[in-house]
Amino acid sequence: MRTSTQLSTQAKPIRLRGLRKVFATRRERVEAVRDVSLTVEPGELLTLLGPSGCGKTTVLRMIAGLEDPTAGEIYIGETQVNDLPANRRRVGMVFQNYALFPHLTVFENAAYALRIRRRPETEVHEAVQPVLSLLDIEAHADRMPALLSGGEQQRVALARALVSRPDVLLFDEPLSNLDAKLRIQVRGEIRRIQRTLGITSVYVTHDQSEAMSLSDRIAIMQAGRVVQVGPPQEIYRRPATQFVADFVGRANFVPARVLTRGPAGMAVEFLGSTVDVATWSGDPQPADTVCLVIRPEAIRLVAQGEAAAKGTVRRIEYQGAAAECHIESGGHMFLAIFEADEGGGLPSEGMVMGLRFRTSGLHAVAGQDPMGSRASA
Amino acid sequence: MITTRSAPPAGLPVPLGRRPLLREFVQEPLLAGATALLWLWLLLVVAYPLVHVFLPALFQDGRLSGATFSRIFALPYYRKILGNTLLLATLVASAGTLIGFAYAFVVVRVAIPRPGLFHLMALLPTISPPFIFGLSIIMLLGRRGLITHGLLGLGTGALYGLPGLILAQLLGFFPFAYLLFRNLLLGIEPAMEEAATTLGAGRWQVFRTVTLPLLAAGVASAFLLLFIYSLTDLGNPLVIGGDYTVIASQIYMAIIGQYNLPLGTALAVLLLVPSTLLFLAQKALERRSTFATVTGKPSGPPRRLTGRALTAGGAAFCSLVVLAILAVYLTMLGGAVTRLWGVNYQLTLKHFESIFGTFSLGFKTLRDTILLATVAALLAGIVGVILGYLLVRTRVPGRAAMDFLATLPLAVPGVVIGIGFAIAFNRPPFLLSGTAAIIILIFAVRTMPYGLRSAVAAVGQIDRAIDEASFVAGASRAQTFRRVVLPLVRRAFVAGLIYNFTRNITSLSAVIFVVSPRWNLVTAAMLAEVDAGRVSGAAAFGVFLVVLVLTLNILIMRFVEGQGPAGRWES
Repeated sequence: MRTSTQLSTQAKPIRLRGLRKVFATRRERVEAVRDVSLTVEPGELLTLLGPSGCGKTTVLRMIAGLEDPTAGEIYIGETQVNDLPANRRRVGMVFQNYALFPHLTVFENAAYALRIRRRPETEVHEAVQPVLSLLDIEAHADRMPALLSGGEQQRVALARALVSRPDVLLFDEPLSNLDAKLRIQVRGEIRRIQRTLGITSVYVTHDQSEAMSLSDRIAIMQAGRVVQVGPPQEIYRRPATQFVADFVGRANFVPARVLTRGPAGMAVEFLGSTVDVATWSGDPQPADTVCLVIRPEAIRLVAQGEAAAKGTVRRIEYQGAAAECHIESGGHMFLAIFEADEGGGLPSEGMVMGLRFRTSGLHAVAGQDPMGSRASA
Repeated sequence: MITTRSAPPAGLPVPLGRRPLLREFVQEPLLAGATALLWLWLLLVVAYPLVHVFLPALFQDGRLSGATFSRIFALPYYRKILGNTLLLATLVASAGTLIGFAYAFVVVRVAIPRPGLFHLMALLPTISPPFIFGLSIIMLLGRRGLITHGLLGLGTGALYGLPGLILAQLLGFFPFAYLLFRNLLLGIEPAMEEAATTLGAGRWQVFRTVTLPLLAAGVASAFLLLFIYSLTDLGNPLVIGGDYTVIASQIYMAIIGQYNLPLGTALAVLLLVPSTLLFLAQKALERRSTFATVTGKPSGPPRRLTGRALTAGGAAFCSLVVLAILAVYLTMLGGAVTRLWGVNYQLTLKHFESIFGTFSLGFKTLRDTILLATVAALLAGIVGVILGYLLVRTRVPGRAAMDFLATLPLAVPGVVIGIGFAIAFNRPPFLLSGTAAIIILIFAVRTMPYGLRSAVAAVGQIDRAIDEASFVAGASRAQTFRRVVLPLVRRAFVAGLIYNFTRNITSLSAVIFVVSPRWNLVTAAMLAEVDAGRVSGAAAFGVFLVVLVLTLNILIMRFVEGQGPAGRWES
C-alpha cells in the first residue's frame, strides 16, 4: 500500500522510568502519578486503563510534554525528552474533544503542523492528501470542522496528528464524545490505521471493552500506579489483584482456603466443596486464605444432584443472547451468565440448582474480599 | 428571539400544546392581562418617547422636512462636531481595545502574582459614574492640577479637550473591553492550544495562529463596544471637553441651553442611527466570537505562561493601569477632604458640611437618589422577570416585537432617551415633568433590557419539564410562576436588582434631562458643582456614590457566591 509506506516512520519505543507527578496548589498536594515505569514497544498500541483520577491522562500528557514530570525520565526512541518542549517532541495527539481549530478548514487543520514548519505548499499538499484519503475525509477537505459530525471530526483530529509524521501517537479518550455505535466503528478504524502505519501508540481510556478490543497490551492504573501490564487476555484471565479483576470484566469474589499447591494447579476449598484452580497471582501457601475470582461465564447450572455445590436462583434476567442468573449459595450471591438458548429453558426463581465451575474461569488473587463477597457489576 | 414559532401546516390537526392563541387567552385571563399590560408599558416608555425624538427632528410646521439636517451638514461648526465625535470614538476604541486585550491576556494567561486582585481593580470603573474620571483628571492634570500645577508648576489648559477626554474615557471604558476579552480567553479550549503545541507550534506561533484568530471577532466586537460608549458619553465631554464639542454635549447644550428642539432632536437622530447600527453589528460579532470551541466543555483551566520577561512585563503593565485607576479614586477622595484643591491642601470636612449641611439640599438629593433608584430597580426587575417568562415559556402573540422593544433601550444612547422623555412627558396626556415618576421611568426603561436578558437566561435554564410537572400536579400558570419559576430564578433576580440599582445611581446622560429642583440626583448635582467651579463639592458627592456602590457590590458578590449548592439550580 503506497500510503502506508509513505507515512510510516521507523517505529520507536517509549520508555518511562520512575515517573512521578505532584500537583501542588496553595491548599493541597495531589500525587497524581506515583512511580510509573513502563516500556511501550516499537509499533505497539498500549492502553492505559483505569478509573477516573488514576493518573492515566497525566502520564499521557507528560509523554506529550504538556505536563512536566515531578521526577522520572521519559525516552522516545533513544532520546531523553524530559527537557524537550511539546512542540519539538514529534508526538501526535488526539484529544478527548478533538480540539480542532474552528477557524480553519479540514485541510488547513490537517496541514497545520507542516505550515508551522513552513514547508513548501507542494509538499504540504502531497503530505495531507494521502492522509485525508486514508481516513476517508477527502470530500470534506474544504469544510469547517463545526459542520462535521462527531465521527468525522474525530477522523480530522487523527489526520491532523498523522500528517506531522509523529514518532508516537497519543490518544486521550478519543471516543468518549461519540455515541455507542460510532464508538465501535471508529475504534476499529483507529486500530486499522495504527496497525497499517505501525506507529507506537499510547491510548488512554476508562472503558475496559475499548481497551480490550484495541490494545496489544493494557496497563492497568490505580491511584497513580501501574498495577498490571499485559495483553488483554492475560489481564482478563490472570488479573494481578482483585481491583484489576473487578475493573476488567465482571467477576464473583469469594474467599477460599488453599488446601494444596502443586506445580500444575492448586486445590482450594470454598462453600464446602473442593475445586481446582489453574492460575493464581502472588504466592499463596497452603492454609492461606485467597480471594477466588470466578468469571460469571465459568459457572454452570446443573441439576441439583450433579454438583457438590448448590444454590437457590434468586433472580433471572433474560437479555436475548445471554441470561444473567443471580444465585445464592452459602451466604454468597453469585452472578452466572450463560447462553440463553442452551436448551432446556431457563431456570425459574426459587429453584435450587447445582453449581459447577469451569477451571479456566477460576483465578486466585491475594487476600480476602474486604467488602464482603459479592458479584461485581 | 430564543424560541422560534412554527405554525402547524394547514389541514393538519393542531398538535398538542399548540392550541389556538385565543383559546389560550380565554383559558388564562391572567396571561392575557399581563400581556396587555406589558404591551402598554413598552409602548409608553420605549416607543412613545422615541417617537417624540423623531417628530421635531423630521417635521417642521407640520410638514416632513430635512431642513435641520441639511443645516447641520452645511455649517462647518457642526461638521467639526461630527468629526470631533468620530475622532474621539475611534481613538478611544482603538487604544481601549488594545489595553483591554493586553490586560485580559496578562490577567488570564500570564503567571503574574495575584491575578484576582488585578481583575477586581479593573472592575472598579465599571460600577462608577464614568465622568469621575474626567473630574479626577482635571484635579490631577488641569490648570490647577496636582501634577501639572503643584508638582511641575505649569498652568496649562492643554489637557481640556481631546487629550483629557481620551484619558478619561479610556480609564472609564477599557474595563468593558477587558471583561469581553477575559470571557473569550477563558472560553478558549485549552486543548486547542495544546494541540497546536504538539503539532510543533512554538508559543508565539500558537498565539498568532490559534489564539489571535479565535479572538478576531472579539477584537472587532470590543472596538465597536468602546466606540459606542465613547459616542454616547455625555459626562466627560461636559466636564473635561473644554472647547472640544462632541454630538452628545452639543445635544445637551441645544436642549438645556438654547431649548432648540429641532436642532437637539436632529442631532439625537444623528447619534441614534449610527449607535444603533453599531450596536447591532457588535451583537452579531459577539455571537460569532464565541465559536472558540467546536465541541463541548473546556477540558480544564489553561496553563499560565511563565518566562521572566513576559511575567515582569505583564505585571508592570497591569500595575501601571491599576495605578492610574487608583489615582483617580484617591484624587477624588483627596479633593473631597482638602480645603481648596490646587491652592490649599489642608485637610477639612467643610465640603461635606456644605453639601450635606442644614441649608443645602445634598442630603435630600442623596436620599432621593437612593429612593428613586431602588423603586426603579425593583420595577425594572419585576417587568424583566415577567416579560422574560412570557417570552421563553408562553406562546403569546407578538413575542418577537415585545422582545425587540424591551431590548431597544440597550441600543439607544442615554442622551436620546433623555430628550425623548423630556419632550414626550412634558405635555398632556402624560405630563410628568418635575415628578419623581419620570425619573423612575427613565431609570427603569434603561435597565429593563439587562433584567430581561438575565431573566431569559435564568428561565431558559430551568428544564421545561419542571413547569410541566407543576401543571400536571394541578397548579395554574400563576401558581407555577410563583412557586416554581420565581424561587428558581431568585438569585439571578436579586443580583439583577443590585446591578440595576448601581446603573441607576451612576448614570447621568439620560436623567440629566429630567431632573428638577424638587427631584434631583447625585450625578446631576455633581455636574452642577463642577459647572459652578466647586470641584471639591463634586468630589465629596463622588466619594459617597463610590462608597455606596462598592459596598453594595461587594455584598452582592458575597451573596451570590455564598449561596452554596442551592445556587446550582440555575447554573
